[in-house]
Amino acid sequence: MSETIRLAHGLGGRLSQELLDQVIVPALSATPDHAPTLDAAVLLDLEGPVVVSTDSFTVTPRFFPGGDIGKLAVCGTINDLAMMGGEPRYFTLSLILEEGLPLEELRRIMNSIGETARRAGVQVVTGDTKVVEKGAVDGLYLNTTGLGTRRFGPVGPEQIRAGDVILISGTIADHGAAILNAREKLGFSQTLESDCAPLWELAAAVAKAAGSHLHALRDPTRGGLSATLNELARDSGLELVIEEAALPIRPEVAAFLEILGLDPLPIANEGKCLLWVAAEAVPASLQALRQHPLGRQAAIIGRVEKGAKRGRVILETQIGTRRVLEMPLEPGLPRIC
Amino acid sequence: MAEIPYRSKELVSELAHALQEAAQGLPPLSLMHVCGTHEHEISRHALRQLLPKNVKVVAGPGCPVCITPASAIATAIKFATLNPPPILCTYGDIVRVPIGRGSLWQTKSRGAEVRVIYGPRDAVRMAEENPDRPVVFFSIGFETTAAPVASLLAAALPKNFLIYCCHRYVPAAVEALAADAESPISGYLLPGHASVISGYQAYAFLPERYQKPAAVAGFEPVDILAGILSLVRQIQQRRPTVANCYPRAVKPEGNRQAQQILEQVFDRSDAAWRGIGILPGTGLELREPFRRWSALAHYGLEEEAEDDILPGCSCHLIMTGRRQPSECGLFGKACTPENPKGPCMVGGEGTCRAHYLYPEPEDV
Repeated sequence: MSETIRLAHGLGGRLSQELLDQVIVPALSATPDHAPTLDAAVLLDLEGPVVVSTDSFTVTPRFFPGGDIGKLAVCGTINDLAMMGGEPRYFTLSLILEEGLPLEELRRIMNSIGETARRAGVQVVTGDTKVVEKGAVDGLYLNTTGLGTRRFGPVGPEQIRAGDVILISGTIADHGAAILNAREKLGFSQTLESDCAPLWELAAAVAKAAGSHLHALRDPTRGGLSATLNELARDSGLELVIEEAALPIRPEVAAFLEILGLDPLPIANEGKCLLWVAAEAVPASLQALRQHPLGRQAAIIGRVEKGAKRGRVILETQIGTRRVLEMPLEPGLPRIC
Repeated sequence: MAEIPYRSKELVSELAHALQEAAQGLPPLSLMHVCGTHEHEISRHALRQLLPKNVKVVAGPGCPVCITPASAIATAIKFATLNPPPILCTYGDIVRVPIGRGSLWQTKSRGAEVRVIYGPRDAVRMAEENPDRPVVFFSIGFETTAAPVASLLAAALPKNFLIYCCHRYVPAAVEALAADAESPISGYLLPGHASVISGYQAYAFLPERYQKPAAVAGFEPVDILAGILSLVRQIQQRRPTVANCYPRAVKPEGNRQAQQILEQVFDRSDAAWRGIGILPGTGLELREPFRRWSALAHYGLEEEAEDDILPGCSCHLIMTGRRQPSECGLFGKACTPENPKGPCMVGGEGTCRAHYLYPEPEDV
């Protein structure tokens, strides 16, 4: 087999079959019912209500401390379902490959997809591969659609109430800082690692502990806390008040961003979630979060108020003043997911 | 958030309290800082909320991107569109600053080779990597950036390297502002970074000639409040001086080595500040042996003419503390960071951008 991807790998002929048989299928450990080689799959055992989500992944660099584009795609898909109360079961996988992509790199990415999916108990059921001319994409892009069954909820901005407490499952800005350091070759310590992780188990644990008191969950990815909090403030029509001093952040991430003059609030995570919980369920929720390996540093970071002005986020700064936390302006970090 | 001593809530609260006491009974005071980073940090931490009602801190012409005259940007556009074109390299923020004929960004989108760099060494590297083409470095900034540029020019450079210099010297600009008999400013918060180079003695004229208090301040909330407190106390005690509230970085005499190299490479001249006009002694012109790197001389060009202020824009008033961003008719409406109409909305040090990005709630 050739060492790089050629246009013929996407034309449906012998080379396409080789790519499937030797690289893609083995990595995904297909079962006879759901072979990812098929153009469509019939899901006999997917109970309703069905939660569905679709996403594309274009991150550069494709490999970074703490993960790669494959792991990111699986985790991102799982997390989008989990934030709606969906237990992830199946996903589809489309690959758009650039002519000339080293085969070894594709193999590593496919193995990472397979490994992350196996650990999270989700399965690829159908997929597609296209190859485009050199320069038409940057290496490879992935598209996934996730399917799952809603196990708790409804959760979402419309469930948020004044008086709710806002929690976060761990430290902020890890993914964005790691990508920035890796991409710009800034040469800061390799301990800057993406937090890329699947959040279904964690979300399910909190839902079990808080029951119907869990009102909303959201993972702060692109645009970080600034974007996610503003979206939820707008969609709930309430005012969110965040305490800057309560935001957990790894010291190395804080120092890295400080040196670059960047505010951590608009910087992305890929393995954290914000939770809106009724006050009476806060102790149980925090305990459930902290008992999970991905939630050890969970913290209370704010509260929901009726507010003088609907749909805005107020930041209580670490020095005790108040300002409006705005949506991030321009994309400071292109293609982080 | 990580605990940073210069952001300690307790220290901040003590300083704010002392400030309230010191300002009691004083008339309304307008204090001016001349540093874009001061404005950014004051806005980011919403420090104005802690000031006594009679103490106002306004932004002066402290953002190097904002004060670069439109004629300089027009001239840089001219370089980028010469035939055959050189590679024009400069900093990211100046590329997006709008002038009447567009911006360097627009020039780039029409095919000109405009490259963004992070520091002067990148420009030299670009010349080394493209030995067959002239590389014009459009170099802006105060003495903080002029000093490393001077040291580059004094060393060996590739033959195809050219520079178009628009550096400005802060102490002379502060003197020009203070000399204005109608100036409403009661004291000056001096820039921490620029003063590392010039030293704070460079501002001795403020108390001596103009009886104005001055204080050098760093950039953390505690540093900035300490500087403001010093100014208010100097006013209260009627003993103007130049206080050093940033002693961990700034020395009275500054950085002698940096001053020497500046002196060796540049001659001081009268120079334009965008929308403000010509300020005496604020320009840094290449001296004779170094003029061989001058892009203007190389191409035999004069600086282009261009209006500084577009219709409706208040940047010139905002940069001299005579108007607040919220008092400009364009602010947040026709002029936003995504679509700036004036220079103060563009860069990280621009006053309008800081006010747009970090608004204080009306109902604090």
